[in-house]
Amino acid sequence: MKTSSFPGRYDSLAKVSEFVVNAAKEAGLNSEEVYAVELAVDEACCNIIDHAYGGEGLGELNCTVKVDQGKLTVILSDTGKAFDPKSIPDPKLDVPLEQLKPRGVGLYLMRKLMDDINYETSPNHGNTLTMVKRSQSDN
Amino acid sequence: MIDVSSRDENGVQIVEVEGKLNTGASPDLEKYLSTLVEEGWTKILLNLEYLDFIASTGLRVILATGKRLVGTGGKLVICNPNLMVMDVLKMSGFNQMFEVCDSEEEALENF
Repeated sequence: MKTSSFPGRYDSLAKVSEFVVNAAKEAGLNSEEVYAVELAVDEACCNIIDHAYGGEGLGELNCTVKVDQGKLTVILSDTGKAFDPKSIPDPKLDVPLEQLKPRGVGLYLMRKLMDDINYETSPNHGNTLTMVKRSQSDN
Repeated sequence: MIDVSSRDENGVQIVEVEGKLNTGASPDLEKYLSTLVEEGWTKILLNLEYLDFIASTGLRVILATGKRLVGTGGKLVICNPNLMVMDVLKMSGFNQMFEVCDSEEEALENF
């Protein structure tokens, strides 16, 4: 298990991405699965900065990766406002372009891309988002 | 993070986006496309051949630009996404909202 902390800024996301992509490759995920992890983590970090902290430079993004053969667990934690992804409904995508609301697409993608998503919040430990991606070839 | 360039092809601005369109890079594309719309261009073709990655912030930029163009009687068309970018476009329903073509030539016929 490896943990790294990054400033809660958009320009940190390339480094967070590199950190999780390396772990995903180490876990033996294929290129499509690595892409899914990279995208889900980018979306999750964006939500932490935008919604938990309410802006850039207001807290840390803590990222832990746990590598198993054919399985990667990514744990993202923050000390911002509680933000439960489950409380946000999937966006309505079957509406005309003019009526489409762009918000919620990131969470929708996270749910589609990762095998498991769990969110916990506590007054002492802040918010913790755990996401798991398994290799299809091991299923 | 991304390189953006464009050229005029019979009144259509063909915009090539190269690199990773993640949350950090999306504002760069937003500025580029906003400038084109403000300059009066109403037909934009996004060539994604060299785009390696797209996050929802990038999708939002495309959506916002598409909406602005529809409002001015214009149009946005997408071409040449790689397989993984195409997967994201499909997952998010963008292949239903926008025409997504396999080549520039095919895309230009859609204006």
